[in-house]
Amino acid sequence: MWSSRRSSIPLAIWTLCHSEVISARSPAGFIRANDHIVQTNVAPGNDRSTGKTIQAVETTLRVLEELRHRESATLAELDEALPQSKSTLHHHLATLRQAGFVDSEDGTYRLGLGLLTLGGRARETSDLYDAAREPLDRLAAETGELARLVGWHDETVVTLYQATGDAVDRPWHTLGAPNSLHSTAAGKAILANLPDEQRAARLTDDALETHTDATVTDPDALRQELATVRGRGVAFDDEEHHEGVRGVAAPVTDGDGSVLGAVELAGSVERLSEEQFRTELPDQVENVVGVVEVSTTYADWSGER
Amino acid sequence: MDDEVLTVGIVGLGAHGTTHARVITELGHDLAGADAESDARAAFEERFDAPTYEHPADLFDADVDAVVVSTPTSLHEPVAIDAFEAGLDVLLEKPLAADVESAEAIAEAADRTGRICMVGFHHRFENLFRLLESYVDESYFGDLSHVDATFVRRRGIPGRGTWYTSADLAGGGVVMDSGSHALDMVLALFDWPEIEHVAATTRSEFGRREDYAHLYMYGDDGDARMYDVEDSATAFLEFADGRTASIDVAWAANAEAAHTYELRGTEAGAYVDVTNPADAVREGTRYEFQLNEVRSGPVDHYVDAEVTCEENDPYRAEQQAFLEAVRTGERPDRNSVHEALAVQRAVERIYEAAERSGRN
Repeated sequence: MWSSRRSSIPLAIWTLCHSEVISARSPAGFIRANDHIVQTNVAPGNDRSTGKTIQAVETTLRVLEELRHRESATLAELDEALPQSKSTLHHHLATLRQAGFVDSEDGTYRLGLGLLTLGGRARETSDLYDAAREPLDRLAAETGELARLVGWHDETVVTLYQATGDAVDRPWHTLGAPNSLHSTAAGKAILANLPDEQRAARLTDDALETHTDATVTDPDALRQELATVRGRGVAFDDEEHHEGVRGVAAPVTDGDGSVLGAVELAGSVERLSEEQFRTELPDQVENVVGVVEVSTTYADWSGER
Repeated sequence: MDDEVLTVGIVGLGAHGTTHARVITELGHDLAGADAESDARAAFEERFDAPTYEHPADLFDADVDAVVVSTPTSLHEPVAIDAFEAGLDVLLEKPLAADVESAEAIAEAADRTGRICMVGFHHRFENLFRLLESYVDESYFGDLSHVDATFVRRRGIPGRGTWYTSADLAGGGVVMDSGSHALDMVLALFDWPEIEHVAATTRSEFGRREDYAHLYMYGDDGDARMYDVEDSATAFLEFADGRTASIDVAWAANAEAAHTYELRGTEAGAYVDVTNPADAVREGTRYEFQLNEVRSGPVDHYVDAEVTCEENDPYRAEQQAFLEAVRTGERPDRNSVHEALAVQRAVERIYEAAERSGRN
């Protein structure tokens, strides 16, 4: 079959390779299942959240997730945070070290760069990433700002790629970081186009974290804004995630209208005029999204199979 | 031999693909289709009762005798080359490719594999145009010095906001679309001369407008979701032998729709009107061929003669020519990949000229 390019390494691995604080998610979403790959640990007809899992692997993942959360930790700190015994944790850490997935120095553990090998590979299997890279580079070059691709798959939302234009010294998002859905333009573009029940689950009071004074945290207000986003096809974030940064995004969907992610262009409030922000950038972002959608749909038509 | 039934694979089952499929069915041949979009496949299967595939390679592996490629233009290259390499003759929708480099790759692959590659400049198959060409060939006009080509619609942006109006996917706007037709006709009339100099302006004035009002649209209306191409252009071409052509094309203009060619020769001139009645939005058709000359005799006088011939369906004539070539292995006398490559280069020259002048 021609879909052999798809592998079972999911984008959550990419998240692990980079660090930014998020609440731990379980199960971890580290393996992707599709029609062509049979997994022994997923019962047929079940989604991953009800499948049988192996406890030791779960412990390993918890250790990794904890290290990502904390950036670094001693064995004592991990012991305090996790229910497993110190010796169990030590065995896990030793195994992970051997694989290059954990580094240790003077008794402090952190994530190992070996994870990037998996993350990089996971990203390469994404048709969306393939299709978006070049248009995003151009968008960043043309605007001078930060062009970002956010991928959505199996409830995992990850910054898959970002390109910086001349005006941006350092991107304000971490590559691979999970994305806040309600406070960034890309997140809102995705949220607006999720199936109703999935969206509703994410529009609860405690899910809507405050990032800046402008973050919309009222579910009703957000619901209303998302309806506008659906109508217009473009989402805005006006300093709602980072002070001084505004962004424009449009959702990337497949032929059936399911959302695959979003393309976002973000820049500093001082540089982006109201006219640019409300009219020019949305046009440019929509052009890129259209190209990305068609290229993703026909990804397997060009090049090797 | 003539009634041999062929199976033709259509790659890209949108508006163009569906038109080709209809004509092929009318000509009594069988179909198969390929598209990555499941909706397009389902609609095609239902309408034509023909098998479809998600990937063109699977279509090429199936028992097809020839292939029509009507995908977004940027996909012409990979799809056509795979088809040639599978040993199949190909009719490609126009323009040949999204840029010259890609067009060259297609032409190179066609030559390398020896397959027939025809490109869908169907207006070349209009009876009126073939008649006009025959007058040119027998030097009825003397030396042809200038051609004035106009291909203007009042509001006729195709698939506004879909791949048709994306620079990345279509390679450009109206110059790629209508402009490539006009250039193909002009270059054919002049027998494929070398272009020496081009002056051009391109404009984008209508496509992005929220108040874009129109009476019909070819393809789907994407509400200008993707729109980064020109919707009108004016160009002046000078050929190496000093002859000239002017090209006026518009998807949208506040003007009467027209698809016309005016020829000036040293002995006679001509005016050909093949305006699509759907563009003109008027009763009746406009299918005219007029000859203009000056004669002497007892008194000097002007002669304006009206040439009338049967109106044909150029799509059908094009498809017939292609399928005849597939059957016999003999290349058609027009619409070769090399002609289409010359058109592609002319399109590029217009974009370069517009870029140079800053009028783009």
